[in-house]
Amino acid sequence: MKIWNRNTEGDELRRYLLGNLSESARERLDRRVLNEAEINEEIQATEDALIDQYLGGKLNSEERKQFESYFLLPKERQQKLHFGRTLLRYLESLSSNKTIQDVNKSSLVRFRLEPRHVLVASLVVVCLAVLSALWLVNQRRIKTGSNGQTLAITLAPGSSRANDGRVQRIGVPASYGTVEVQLEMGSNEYPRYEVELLKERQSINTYKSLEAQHKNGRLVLVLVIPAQVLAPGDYTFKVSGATNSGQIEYQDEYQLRVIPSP
Amino acid sequence: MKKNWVLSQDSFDALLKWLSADRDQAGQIYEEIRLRLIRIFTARASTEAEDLADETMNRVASKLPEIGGTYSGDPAVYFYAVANNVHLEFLRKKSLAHVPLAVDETADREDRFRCLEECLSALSDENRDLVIQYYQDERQAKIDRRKLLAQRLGIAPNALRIRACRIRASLLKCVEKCLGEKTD
Repeated sequence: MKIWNRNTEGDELRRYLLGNLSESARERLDRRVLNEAEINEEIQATEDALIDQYLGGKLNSEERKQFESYFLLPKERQQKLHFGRTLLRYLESLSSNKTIQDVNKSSLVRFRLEPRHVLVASLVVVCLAVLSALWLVNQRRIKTGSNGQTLAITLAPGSSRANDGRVQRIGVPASYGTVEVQLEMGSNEYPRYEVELLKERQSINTYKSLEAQHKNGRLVLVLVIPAQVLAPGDYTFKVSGATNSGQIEYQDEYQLRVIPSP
Repeated sequence: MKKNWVLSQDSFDALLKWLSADRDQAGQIYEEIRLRLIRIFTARASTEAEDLADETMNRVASKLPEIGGTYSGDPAVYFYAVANNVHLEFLRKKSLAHVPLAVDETADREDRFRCLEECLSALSDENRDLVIQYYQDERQAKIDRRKLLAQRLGIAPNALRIRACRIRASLLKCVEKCLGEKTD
């Protein structure tokens, strides 16, 4: 039994699956497929890796071409691609939910602290709240990014209207842990807002109970999103206002294209 | 293949006997060879890998009366030679150019998502945790997370890779089954 060496033979297996091997090399691998159980599992794992790399925009142009015109021909691989895409969406939604949970947790902590101490020792409470907030912000940075760096971006409503008909593009370098998206508001008509984040028109998360705030002289809604959620693709931020009675009223959309980072 | 040749019970029995004197073992070898032929045809981007594998099995069965007594090598090698012929005939009949994607994903995207959630919840806690952690993150963070995961489980990185791949395969199967049930 031959032991499969992934490091030295992995590339050959990729080329085998993409149809890029010479006749003799392909025949050699065919025979191993017929005789060795281990290589069959490696093929499955390599197929999964190729699919994930394709979905993540990590194949080079030649590999991408081969992937689409050759690798994807069998129906079972198309099923695998669809599954890979669904899995990716699921994982992205997990990351987004985690951020919301972190934010909610910090709100809960404030709620518990303030009523108890405001009347007794307001100065102590203020100090505690400031220290807690700083600690929580720090914790969130640790949780959401590898090094806590935040990339800030401001989007205008409709995006194209404010950008000569072009959708705003950004690349998110790997060194950034979070992206702070500021959605520029024309006016502040609602006590709270909801922002639905969609990728390729599919909803991936909704940020609730947001309040408009002034930043650098502009009225904006601020979303802090883990950088890993913003994989290359087209995103829409759909803003709705929430009335005091809880009614949700659609307001505007903001477009963003995330391109592979250089 | 001989025209109008149909795999009879006798032919099938003879094929099993050729593979092994032990009928149970022969059945396993038959299935193993068939699965691996499917993999080979799939690796050649064949759109009809299963049909071609079945055709190969049948064609070998039909030739047994001629070669059964004289062929002394590994049966798998013979199957491979026949598979090559079957594939060449397939290529002659059908151009590989531009076969459209068979599944329209947009129609059932939400169903897929819900099915995946259901299938994940049906996994054991350990397997669910493994598959989520294994495929999460990007670039260096993903590499680091996988290293930690392998250390925590006390297995080699490649063993972790294969384990994640098996869980993923079972999830895919579960999701397709779930989707089938939704459309019924």
